[in-house]
Amino acid sequence: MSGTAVKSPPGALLTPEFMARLDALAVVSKKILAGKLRGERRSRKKGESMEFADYRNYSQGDDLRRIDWSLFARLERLFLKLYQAEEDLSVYILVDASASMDFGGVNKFDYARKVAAAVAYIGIANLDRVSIGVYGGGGEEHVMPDIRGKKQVLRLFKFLSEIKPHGQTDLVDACKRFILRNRRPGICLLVSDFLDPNGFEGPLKALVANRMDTFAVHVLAPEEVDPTLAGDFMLVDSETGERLDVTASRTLVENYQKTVRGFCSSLQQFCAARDVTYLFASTDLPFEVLVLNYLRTAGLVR
Amino acid sequence: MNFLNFLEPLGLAGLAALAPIVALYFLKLRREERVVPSTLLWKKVIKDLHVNAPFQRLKYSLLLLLQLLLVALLAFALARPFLNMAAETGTYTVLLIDTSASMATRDSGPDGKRSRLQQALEDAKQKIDDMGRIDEMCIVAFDEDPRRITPFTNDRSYLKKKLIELEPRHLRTQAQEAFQTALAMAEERRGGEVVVLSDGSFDKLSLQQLLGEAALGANTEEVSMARLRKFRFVKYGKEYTDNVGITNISARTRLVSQGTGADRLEQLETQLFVMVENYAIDDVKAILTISSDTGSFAPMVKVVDLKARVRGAESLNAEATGRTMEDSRVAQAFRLPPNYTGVVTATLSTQNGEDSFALDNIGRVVVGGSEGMRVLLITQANYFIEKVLVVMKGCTVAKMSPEDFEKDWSQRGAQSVAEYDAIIFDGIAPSRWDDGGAIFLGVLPPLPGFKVKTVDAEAGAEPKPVKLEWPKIVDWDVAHPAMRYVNFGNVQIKEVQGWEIPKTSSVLVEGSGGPLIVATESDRVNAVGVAFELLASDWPYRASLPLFLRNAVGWVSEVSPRRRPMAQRTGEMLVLPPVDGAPTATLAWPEGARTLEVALSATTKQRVPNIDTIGLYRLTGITGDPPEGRIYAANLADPRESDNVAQDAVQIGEESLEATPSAVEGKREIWRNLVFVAVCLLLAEWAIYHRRVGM
Repeated sequence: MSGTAVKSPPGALLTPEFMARLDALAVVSKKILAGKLRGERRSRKKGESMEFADYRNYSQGDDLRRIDWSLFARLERLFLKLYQAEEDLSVYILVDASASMDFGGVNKFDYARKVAAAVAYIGIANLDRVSIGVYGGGGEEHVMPDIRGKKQVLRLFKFLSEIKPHGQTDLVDACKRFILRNRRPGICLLVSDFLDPNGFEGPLKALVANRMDTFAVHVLAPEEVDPTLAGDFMLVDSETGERLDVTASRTLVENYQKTVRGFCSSLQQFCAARDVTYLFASTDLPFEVLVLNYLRTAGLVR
Repeated sequence: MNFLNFLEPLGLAGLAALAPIVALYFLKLRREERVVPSTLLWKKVIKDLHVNAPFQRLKYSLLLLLQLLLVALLAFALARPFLNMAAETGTYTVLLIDTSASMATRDSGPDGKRSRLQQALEDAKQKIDDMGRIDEMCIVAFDEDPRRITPFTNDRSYLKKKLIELEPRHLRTQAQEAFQTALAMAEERRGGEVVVLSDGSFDKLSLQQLLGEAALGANTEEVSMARLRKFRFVKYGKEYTDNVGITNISARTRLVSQGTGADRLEQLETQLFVMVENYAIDDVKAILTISSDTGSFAPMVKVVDLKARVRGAESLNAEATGRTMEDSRVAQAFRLPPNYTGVVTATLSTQNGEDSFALDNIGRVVVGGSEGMRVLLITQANYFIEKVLVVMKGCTVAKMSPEDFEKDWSQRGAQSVAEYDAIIFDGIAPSRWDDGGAIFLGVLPPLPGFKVKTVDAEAGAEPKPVKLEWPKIVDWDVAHPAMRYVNFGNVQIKEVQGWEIPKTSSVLVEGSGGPLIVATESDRVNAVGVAFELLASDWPYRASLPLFLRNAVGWVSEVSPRRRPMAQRTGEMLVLPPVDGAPTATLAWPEGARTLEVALSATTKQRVPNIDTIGLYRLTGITGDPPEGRIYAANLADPRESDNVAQDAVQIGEESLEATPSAVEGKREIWRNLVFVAVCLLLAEWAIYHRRVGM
């Protein structure tokens, strides 16, 4: 873990104070995943770390430096000391940048990219391999692959800040393209409102099938959860422009609230069934609390 | 009894307008656009509710609800709903409205400055508005007499038009006949009732007369009460008054002598009597001002202290309280300048200026006969009388022979002597005498009750008049004005006619065989009859004759039609004297409110009714009269009207008809309230609409 502090420019996604607190955290995986480079993460493999793991019989060609000479003196047999191998971790962050994310008193996309930035920062700080993909409407994608080292943090923030959400959600397509580019298993954080006409099942299945340790952060604005509508309205879909006449009576609003709760519940159940960690984030919940408390509780960071 | 009814149920057809509103709502519903992240979940909700979507759309659409409510309210308002309150009015209503003088008292209305009649008419209008579709009403006004203003009708505009024409008349209240008339009208219709709008300031009514004596005997008490319950009395005015008024005004002109000896002058002097009464509950200092319309004398002012009126139980306890009703009543006399002629006005005011009833604060009297006493002597030749009359300086004496008089009388009747204050008939008398002052010398006064005594003669012969010779003087009445200073003891009479006189006459000189001189007095006639010829006595040689003649001329002339102070009460007929040539004159009511062409008679008096306003009446158009014409004054001068305390109940026999607080409590229409609420809804709708559009 590095103690180097990175100063963020004004208007940056994360404040220096918050980043200082993030320095103490690390992205963890429920599964031990094979890394490409030697990193700071304990691997399933035995390696060259300082941490003792096991002994094995010497075989020809082994590094003589690893022979436990003390044991040879007592037993007169050659044993090699095995140490825990340490590897890097691939952290993939997918952010939904469709038009539906551009909504709310606290903007949903703004919230989502802050969460993404925070997790990415934790990963970078722990020498993990972080890749970010931001997927907007019409197949547009903004990808920043294989970020390592804190020097990349400012570039990452700039990258995230410059993206404007627009277009129609197509998470299935976005996930497929992401998986094609990143075959290596890792931790995958998907931040979205999951309001996809094609359903939320497809993208999550694709991620799980690719052995990703998946975390789904479901971002919704409070206005979506508890709308304050009363009267006759023509609702316009921000993504499709589709118009829908509603007479927002108390009953209708109550039914809508039930439907929202049902939607969240079905997403949660779907995730639970596939070992995907589900996190509901209303934008009125400060994202710092989400990162420091909720993500820790969910086991994404430690 | 339904609590809510409708006067125009057809108005409910307006509810049909609700259907187009709902239709328009669906057709032209204006929706506000609202961008949402995704309609995904909304669509799902709508899909779930799709089965009963139209009702859901209607539900909680505030604007639509307001519109529907507004139209419904207007439709209800058109139907003229009313609430049946405690006292339900009958279908047929006789509105009995008091238009007497006391209803002009300004102590009603919200500000307490409206006259009682104005307030009553307001309520009556409201009551007319409240009439149902099949209800009928008739209006009867009453003061001195009941007047049917309208028949039973449902025509509201006609009723209101007639109502507006009603004004307070300066007349007293005669309620008995009015109540009887109204009850008879109400009983003509089934369920009829009488609503009396009055201050109740009139005398107790007779139950027997009201219900009919025969009916009263036949009816049980219950039936009588049921008939009485047809009356509803609505009181106007307050239970106390601040009124101070002139309750009587009159004047009397008499002959007075000014100076002595050769300078002695006979003049006419008029005395004005004014009665002032206080009806207020406080002691009052009233200022009574007597003034001349021509300004020929300086106004005379008197401050009159009047005690508070004693009423009810207090008046029964006069000894304990030391206060009587008389303390609140003061009579004042004023002596007008000699030979004054013209209008005299008495004006009453109080020091604090408060008096809600103005009609009795003024009284007028017309004083005539400016040119002094005029005496007509009808005689063949009577030196003594002529001599005596000549001595009466200030009197104008005319002489006429009996032949000329008879000729003139046959042609013009009383008109032939109308210019004179006193007429001395010497040995001749007209066929009748019914107006004015006259002295009959040696001839029987042609007045009712006077007869010549006769003795029964033999069969077939004419009865003979009784003649008394040398009667003894038994007594003479020195207290009588005509006999002042007269000593009759030394008079010898040769022959006296025997007269039978009415009991109302007074004997001035009593002889041994009967009356020698008699006097008779009535409203319009003062007459003295001497039962002997002057020349058949030694009276012409006695000093008592000039004294007697002067006294008698002065006394009889007090009733002279020419000089009779003219002031009458409103409600009395105006009596116009005969005028030569029977011209047509114009009588103008005070303030020129009305004029009437009057065809005057040459021989008889003309009577004009409807003297219903206080003030001066002018009769113009008679040749020889001054341009301003003959003036007559009419005053209220009625203590009963001046005592204008509103009564809580009308006393009918032993029963009392309690006042109800309002004339219009029966039905209260609420359409105005509905329209008001509808307008409020419209404003609310407008506000909500604009708030939504601006959202």
